[in-house]
Amino acid sequence: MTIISIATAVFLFVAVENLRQGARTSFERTISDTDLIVGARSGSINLVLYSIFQIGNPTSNVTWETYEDITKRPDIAWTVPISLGDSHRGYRVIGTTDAYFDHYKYGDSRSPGFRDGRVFIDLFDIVLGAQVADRLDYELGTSITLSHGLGATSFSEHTDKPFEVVGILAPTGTPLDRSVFVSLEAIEAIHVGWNSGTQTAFSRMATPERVRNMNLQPKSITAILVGARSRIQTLRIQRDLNTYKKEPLQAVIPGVALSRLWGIVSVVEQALAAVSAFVIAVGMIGILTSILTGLNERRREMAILRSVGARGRHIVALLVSEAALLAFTGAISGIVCLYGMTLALSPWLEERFNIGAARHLPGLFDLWVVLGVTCAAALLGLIPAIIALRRSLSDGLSIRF
Amino acid sequence: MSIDEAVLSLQDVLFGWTPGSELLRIRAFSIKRGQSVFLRGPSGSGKSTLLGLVSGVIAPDAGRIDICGQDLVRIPGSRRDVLRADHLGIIFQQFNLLPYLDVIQNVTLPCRFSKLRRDKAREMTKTVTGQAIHLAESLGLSSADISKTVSELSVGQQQRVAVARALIGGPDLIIADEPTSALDHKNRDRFIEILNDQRHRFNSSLLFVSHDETLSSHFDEALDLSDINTRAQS
Repeated sequence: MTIISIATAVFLFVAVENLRQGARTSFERTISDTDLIVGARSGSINLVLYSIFQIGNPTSNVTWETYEDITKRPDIAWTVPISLGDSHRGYRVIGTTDAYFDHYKYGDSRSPGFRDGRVFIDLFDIVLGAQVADRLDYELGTSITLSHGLGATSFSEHTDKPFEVVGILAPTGTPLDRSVFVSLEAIEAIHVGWNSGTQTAFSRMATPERVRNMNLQPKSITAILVGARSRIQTLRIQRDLNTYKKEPLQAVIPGVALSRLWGIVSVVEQALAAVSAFVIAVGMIGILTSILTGLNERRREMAILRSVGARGRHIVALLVSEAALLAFTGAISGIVCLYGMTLALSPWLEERFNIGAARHLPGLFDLWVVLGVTCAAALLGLIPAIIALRRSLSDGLSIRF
Repeated sequence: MSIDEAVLSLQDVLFGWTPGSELLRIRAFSIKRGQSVFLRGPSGSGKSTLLGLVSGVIAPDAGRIDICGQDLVRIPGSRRDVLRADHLGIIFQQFNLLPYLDVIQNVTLPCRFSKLRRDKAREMTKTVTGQAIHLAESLGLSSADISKTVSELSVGQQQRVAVARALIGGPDLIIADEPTSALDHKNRDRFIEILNDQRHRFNSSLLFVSHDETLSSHFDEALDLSDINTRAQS
């Protein structure tokens, strides 16, 4: 019983810790090698959330002129425009250029590779994230339509302009898996004749064939991913863009914004850790009480041991090691259960929550937990041990039941 | 060591559980090597307390208690534990055995705490376990009994295991605290005969405490606790 409670406590504690680490690494692995994210002025966290994590809504846009201005700067190596605002069955559509697949990096500077197919070339080509393709069971050649807005169900569908799936990305464990990619021009094309988010009569005349002949250069975009020629210049570029004259801009360094964002999330994480620490503490008290309650019935045992010459320290050692053994067995079984379950559930976890980096094998941390729990229990075991020792001295050898 | 040498001797021992209330006052009491003493007394007369004093678990308020020439009262507690392990074998009334150990482990228990008794046990047979099996068998336990768990043994068998444990490594003094009270009459006499037979082999003395006077014929000397406890007389 005590072993089970300790096992549960250790299980929870280590599970929370592993999830936390997994969440954190996958969080930090989301974007790398991008020096700045530029968007309309809002909050830096907000900007990162909607441009990278696809959470929340963009407030306003950046004009195409500004984008060209930034691209022309000599200290900038590359730029990737992003245009948001549409979705396909709840998955967000990212309007961008093929440069996105060259410059967007995650983890240790890894590029998202293609599992199938290629980048969009034609106006109505579309590339799917791995999860989108798997969930919706799409393959190359599938014809899909986009919806206006970011909700899972939309009332205004761009049914008149179907897209053809030409590429599916390899899974990355980032929000990319849940995104759909088209060219910037495609975003323009499906909105020809639209005004403030509603279809006008004119749009019905804009058939795909006609649209192809139009000028589809966008007037504005949502955000820009920027790579500086050298890292050192990043801060200067950031300052320049934040004080950009023609329109209010905001440039954020992804790493800085991410760690600020994590700071907010980590409160929850610390609360979880505290809860599991308490669970362990309760388990410890469980050990203590079970030994203490057993002590009365074991007065005879202590007397026998004393009678055959066991010294005080033997009695103490017996009870302390008993507590330690209980805790150790509990902790080990907790860890074993956890990793057994992790092994069994990790594919599901990765898909469901994108926590791909959770540890699959016990490490040093688990060793410390087991050691800590055992030592704490041994220390607690001193309490019944000393009580037993005192009692065995006063009881003498004359216990009768 | 001479035959007359006292294995146990008490001098002017004084003890009370609470200050002011005196339970025991023993001017002089001793047991010689190889001698068996039957000590009787009604319950509550201080028999068990006396055993606690003799085994060095309880400290007297005054006086001297020697075990094989060493004064229990004046040596530190850890030395007392060693002395007890080396020189005393103790048998309780009942439930003498640790249920989580097997029969042989129970018998060899004193050898874990006393190097002296471990060495003595090895002198006779090559291993401590061998000695334990030998003792158990000479006490009338079959090899089938020996392989049983402690809780499967009858009370009489358990008491024999306790005797084997008290005897292993040939301690100088066996202390038996009403070891027969849980046995029926026939088993009682048989038990004491076996105990006496075996202890003679080791030349161990025996202090046997009981309220059952019918047993006194088995011993070299029979005393009433009130004979040596002068407090009870005054």
